[in-house]
Amino acid sequence: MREYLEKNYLNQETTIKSWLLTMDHKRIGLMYLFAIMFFFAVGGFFALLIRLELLTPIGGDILDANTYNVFYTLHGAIMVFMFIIPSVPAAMGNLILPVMLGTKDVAFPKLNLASWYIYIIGSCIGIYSIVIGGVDTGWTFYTPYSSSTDTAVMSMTFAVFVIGFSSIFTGINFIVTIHKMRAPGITWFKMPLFVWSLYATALIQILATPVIAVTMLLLIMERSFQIGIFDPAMGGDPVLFQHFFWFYSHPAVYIMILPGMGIISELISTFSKKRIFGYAYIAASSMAIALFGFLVWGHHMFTSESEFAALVFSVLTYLTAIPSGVKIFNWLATLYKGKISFEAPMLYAIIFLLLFAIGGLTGIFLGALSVDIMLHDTYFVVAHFHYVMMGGTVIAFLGGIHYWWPKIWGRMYSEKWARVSAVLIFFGFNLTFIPQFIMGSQGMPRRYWQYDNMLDTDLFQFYHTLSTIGSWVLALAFIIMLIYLVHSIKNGKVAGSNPWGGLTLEWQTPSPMPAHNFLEEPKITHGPYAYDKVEAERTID
Amino acid sequence: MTENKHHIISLKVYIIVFFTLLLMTALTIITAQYNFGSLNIILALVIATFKSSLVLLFFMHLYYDNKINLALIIGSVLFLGTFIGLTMIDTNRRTDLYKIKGEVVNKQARIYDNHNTNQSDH
Amino acid sequence: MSNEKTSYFQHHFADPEQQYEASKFGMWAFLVTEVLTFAGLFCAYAIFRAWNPEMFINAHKALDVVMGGTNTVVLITSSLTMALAIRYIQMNNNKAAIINLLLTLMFAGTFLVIKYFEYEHKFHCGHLPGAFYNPLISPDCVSIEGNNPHVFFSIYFMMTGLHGIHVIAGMALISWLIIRTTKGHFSPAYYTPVELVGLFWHLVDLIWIFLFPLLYLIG
Repeated sequence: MREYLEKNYLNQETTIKSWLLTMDHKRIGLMYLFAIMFFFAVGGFFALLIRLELLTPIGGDILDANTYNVFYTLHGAIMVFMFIIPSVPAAMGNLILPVMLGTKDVAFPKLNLASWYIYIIGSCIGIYSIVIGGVDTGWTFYTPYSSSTDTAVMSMTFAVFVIGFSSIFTGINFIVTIHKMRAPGITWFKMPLFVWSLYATALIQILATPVIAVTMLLLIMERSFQIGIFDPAMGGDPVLFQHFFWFYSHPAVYIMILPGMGIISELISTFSKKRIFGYAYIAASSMAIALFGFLVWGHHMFTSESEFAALVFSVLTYLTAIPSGVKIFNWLATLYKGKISFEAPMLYAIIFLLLFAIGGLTGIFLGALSVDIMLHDTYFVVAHFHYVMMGGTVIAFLGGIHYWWPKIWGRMYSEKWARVSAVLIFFGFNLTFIPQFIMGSQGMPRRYWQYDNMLDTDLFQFYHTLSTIGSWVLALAFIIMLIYLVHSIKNGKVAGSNPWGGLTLEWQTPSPMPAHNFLEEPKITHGPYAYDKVEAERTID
Repeated sequence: MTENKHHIISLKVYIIVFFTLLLMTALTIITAQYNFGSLNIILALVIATFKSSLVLLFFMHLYYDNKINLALIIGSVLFLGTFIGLTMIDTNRRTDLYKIKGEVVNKQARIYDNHNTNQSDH
Repeated sequence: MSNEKTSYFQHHFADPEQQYEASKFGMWAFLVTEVLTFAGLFCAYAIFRAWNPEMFINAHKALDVVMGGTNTVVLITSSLTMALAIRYIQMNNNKAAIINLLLTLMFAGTFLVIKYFEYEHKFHCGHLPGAFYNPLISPDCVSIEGNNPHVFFSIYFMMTGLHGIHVIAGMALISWLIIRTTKGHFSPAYYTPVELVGLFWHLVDLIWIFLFPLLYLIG
């Protein structure tokens, strides 16, 4: 029914204490959402300054060399650890997962709250490291520079160590919730694909994150006690650090993308009013990506590891591309002959398909050993990972935000402005990153503060300028988005329980959601994508 | 009070497992005193694996539990193995670099004069 | 019926059995993370041992097999008493449970005491990690041949140190259990925290079962 639920999880209790000590997964999800959006802005701020500096080939326009190094490190570290990794699982997953499963909360609500606090504490330690001057090693913290530079490496690595526990506890919570707390009637193959993606993600979280924890610990030990494990002068091996670091950080990118892909499955099905094509294959491909993702970390080290290892990792990397391909084709097949409507969430889904495809395909170039020698540490790599992380995960995340916004707040945002923002993001993103592919393939290195005295300096300056203008378009789009989203919280049109006509369980409960998710025991009468059998009433035309 | 349907392991099982563990510990110490070459480490790991299996299956109840718990722990050990294994395909092959001899890619290339094919061993 | 569900029952679960199974499963998921944490250190061990096989063999002679072996027996026994503690709670015998928990705590403490003596000897002999390696020439200190012997001790201290921290954490948890058991919080119907701490404690034992041969019994 098209109604705004008067007594809901937002206003059930209104004291600060009721929020700070909440055990309601929806409130915890919201608190995560605010925090990650804050860090996205901070990370984005560093990016804008970097792009400003790169407008001219000569260094020192607005940043000196060391500050530049600090800024790209902070941009990376904040975006990876404080924004993107918690974004879909901790924020959207917490808000929606239990509702999709027809249950009252996650398995361990207290642990969930602890996860949030650990994340906040870790992030504060990270902020502290920024305030005392930041880190200049790149977000990858490669030794031996990171074990010897006198920037705030200790506090930043400790921050990463702490935030990692937040990720681990969220992973544990989701695994147990999905295994043990599905409502009767929701079997494994009746779960929405978003849940499958969160499950695969949670498995990665518990298996991979401990390794970054021990890596950060070893780096801290190396810096404080010179244990010599990464120092060649002491019989150690700097490449060993790379192995340890990437054993986590490669699966981490699957932590980033898998939940996003789960959102896309939901969006494509709902906005084509069609059963998702190849449900079992999409679910299986999520698990396959999670598994294979652990076998390919060496592709970040093609230029530093031995040839035989590079060969093996290259082969494994090509295998890993296959499950992602399976997903893309299944989504396209879902769209085919669907009753497609182009509301904002669907716009984001379509944008995702294009941008993630480009990102994924450019990864194929990087996976070829001989080509990677040329492309490693150039802007080609930068563009590649921004296409998959931003063009992929962030776009999917925005799609999810717009899809579930009415469920979270009970009100709709302005569709017109949402479309404006989506289109601006599409243009701004491509304007920012396509020039980076081009100049990367021409040899423009990454992490360079100045690029004068190169053969192609003028050409690079042209591309850098395009890229910087693109970054401004993106900034504008996000500012517009912030405005219309915030405005809709109090002023948007009442959305009702099912503004999109979706068939997953969250659309069967009123908006905003009741404190215990459902007013009455949910009855599972159909699968999550049974558009061929069931017609769900849209509460908004 | 709720009926407790949880399986209680008998004292006998615990004691047998305990003494087996002690025996295995003695065995591993004794066999370490002899030199079997590279077999030593394999033997030590086999004994350690056997001991941990006993702890996992009986002290930690996995033999009687829902098998998913066992699957989790075996999975984690497989990942541990993958981590060590794949890392070692790099670290064990570092000396490969010394075995690579430079070879001319294109003998007709202009950078070479007629008599000299650029054969460099560093 | 709701009057059978008592204060330990959390209402987002359908019934206490689901809560018990979920809690245990959650603990196993946590143990997975512990295995992967130590995985990094075992990996470092494997690599440095492969690179320095003779040095490792020489260096391990600086470790005392008697102390290490005793510690192994101590931990295995503490695992037994921990398992017995759970058993006695399952059988509604609080007193025997508390005795076994206290014994577990005592054995854990013994482990740490022996460890302390081992570490003290290392400090005395200058067998320390990395830059602090400063071998003392003395009849009671083994001298180590081979390159980069400090690497062995970096690994030794990292692995036994991290393991030791887990022993201390375990002792804190067991003490908490003793207090709660004395207050009568546990019964055959509800003993989940005891079971979960037990699982953690057994993991601590498991890690040592591998650390002992790999560090003390090489060559």
